[in-house]
Amino acid sequence: MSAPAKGRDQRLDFFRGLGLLFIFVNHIPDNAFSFLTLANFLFCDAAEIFVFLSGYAAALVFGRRARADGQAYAVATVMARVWTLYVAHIFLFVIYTAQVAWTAQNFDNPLFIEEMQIAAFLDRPHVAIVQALLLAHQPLFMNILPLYITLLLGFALVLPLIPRFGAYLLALSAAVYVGVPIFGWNLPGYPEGGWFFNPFAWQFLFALGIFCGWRSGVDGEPIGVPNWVFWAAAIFLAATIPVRTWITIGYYFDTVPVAFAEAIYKFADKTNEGPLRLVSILALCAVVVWRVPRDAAWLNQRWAKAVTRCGTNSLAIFCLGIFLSVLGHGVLVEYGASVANQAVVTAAGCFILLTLAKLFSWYKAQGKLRKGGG
Amino acid sequence: MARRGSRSRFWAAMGVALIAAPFLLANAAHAQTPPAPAPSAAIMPEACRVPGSVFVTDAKLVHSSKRVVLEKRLSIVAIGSSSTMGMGASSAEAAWPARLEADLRRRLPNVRIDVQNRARPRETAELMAKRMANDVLSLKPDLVVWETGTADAVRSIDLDQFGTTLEDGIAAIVAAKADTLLVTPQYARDTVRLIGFQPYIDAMNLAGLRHDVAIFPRYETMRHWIESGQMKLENVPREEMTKVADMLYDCLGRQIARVMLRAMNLPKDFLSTPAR
Repeated sequence: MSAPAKGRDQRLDFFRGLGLLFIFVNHIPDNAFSFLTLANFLFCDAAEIFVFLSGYAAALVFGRRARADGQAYAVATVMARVWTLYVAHIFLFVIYTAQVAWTAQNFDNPLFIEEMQIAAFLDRPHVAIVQALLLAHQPLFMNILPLYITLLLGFALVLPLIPRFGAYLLALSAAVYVGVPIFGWNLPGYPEGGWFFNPFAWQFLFALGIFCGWRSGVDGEPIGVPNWVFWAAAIFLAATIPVRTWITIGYYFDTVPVAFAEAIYKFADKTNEGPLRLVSILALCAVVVWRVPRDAAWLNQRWAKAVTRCGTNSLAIFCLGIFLSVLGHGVLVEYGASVANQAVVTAAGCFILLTLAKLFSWYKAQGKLRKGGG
Repeated sequence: MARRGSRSRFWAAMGVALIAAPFLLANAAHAQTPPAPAPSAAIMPEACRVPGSVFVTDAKLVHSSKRVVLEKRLSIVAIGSSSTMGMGASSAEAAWPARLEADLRRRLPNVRIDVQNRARPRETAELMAKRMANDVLSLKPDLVVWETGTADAVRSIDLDQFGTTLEDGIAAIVAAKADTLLVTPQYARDTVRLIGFQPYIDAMNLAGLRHDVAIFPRYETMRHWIESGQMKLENVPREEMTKVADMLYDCLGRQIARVMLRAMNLPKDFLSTPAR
């Protein structure tokens, strides 16, 4: 019984850890090993895992905190977490700025003069930095933390209402999700467009995660799901995996019928968390909960524990993953992007992440030990 | 015990298979490169070659085909950004629209070919669509080559808005009784980590599919050239840059000509023999 510390479901951290490793692999552009990640088989990807499981974990941690220490303290704890995430995002933005400045300096190429307009924000740092602080300036691949920050901020605001009005809040959340494609709600981005992860759409997945987490972790009465739902989820996945894989391999829309391409484009829209993506992640979670028991023996194997530790240290591993993907891409640009080099970079990155996760866990455990002893 | 052993062996085999898959796929992609038939060598130099799998557009250039067959002439207008202007090249004659013209003239010796270049730097699709009528359609082209998406991806223009702009632009070209060929953004290792091109390329592909418009996948073409080591466009010494730009634009012109000819589906006797 020592494994699920604080009664935490180990599966939660394992799959969150796996999602974080996927995010690292996917964020190296044109990485052949992205082939191994979820996005190529399913209409959802690591972003959905991250958001849903983060909602689940938030309910678990902060819901219990509210039970034990009162609402006010729980809200303050969420806000402290929001602040940590915000600082982490600004840290990533600084990495991005360094990367752009570096590229702009070394990549002096008239062929790509148009593309290097991306560095234009360096000419107006006063605007760019303020826009970054306002979370409006979201560079490529650095748009999930602003979403997470916004979602957690919303969670802090409604946390005291959840015990009494949980069901109404979930209904409201669903209504907002449905309203997005109708009214075109989104937060403004910089220099143009809206947020890549539209928080008005993605909040519903987060809310569903909170709902599931609250029911099983705080109320202690997991949602009773009839067996046929699991079967339906399994059949849905079995039906969509070949389709998605076919699109991955066939790649171009030209090879598929127009109506089909239109439907995929519309319903698998990532910005607004299209229904196909939403159903895919829920089906995936259902099948995992169904087929992987909480006390599955393999979760205690060494490799699984290593992945799980990535999930327990999610923020640090996420930031490091982004940082390493920037670095790894730099290595590939410099030394050539052969599949062998990609393999080395991907494996080295995963190894570093797993090792650092172990180090963080050790440090945390030491801290607790010493506090307890002193 | 025995059962457990065979099970773990199964998972080990799965693991090996999954890790090996990217290598095998990459090899397969290489193997797909067709051994080009010798006669075409004069038309498509070694450096410009692309595996057949890169081009999949099956839209037809109906107006252009008719004009060529019935009147033996073809008027093309290119609209686009810096790369269509020929940024970095030795002269305006080295930009890809001019190279396209030269290559089409070579390949269709009995057809009067005219290619006009109406590119301007740093324009989004919206700005190009706005000047489409005055700058492009007023020249009464049979075919409009529309290179776009780069400025939009750089500025992260709203994707729905980008899609609508493409549709409007294509509708204007259709109304002027001309064909459209869309050209996607350029590929460079250094830029793809900073700019999210793929959603914009997807939107272009979808617009193409919806309106039966042909697409030249410049992104995939250049990715092949760069990643296969066939072309070196990044970290080029300054004094060689012009030469490299000229070569790139020449290859693009030839490949775009190839896609056009395929989409025009002309009778055989219109094409010059490769040796000429």
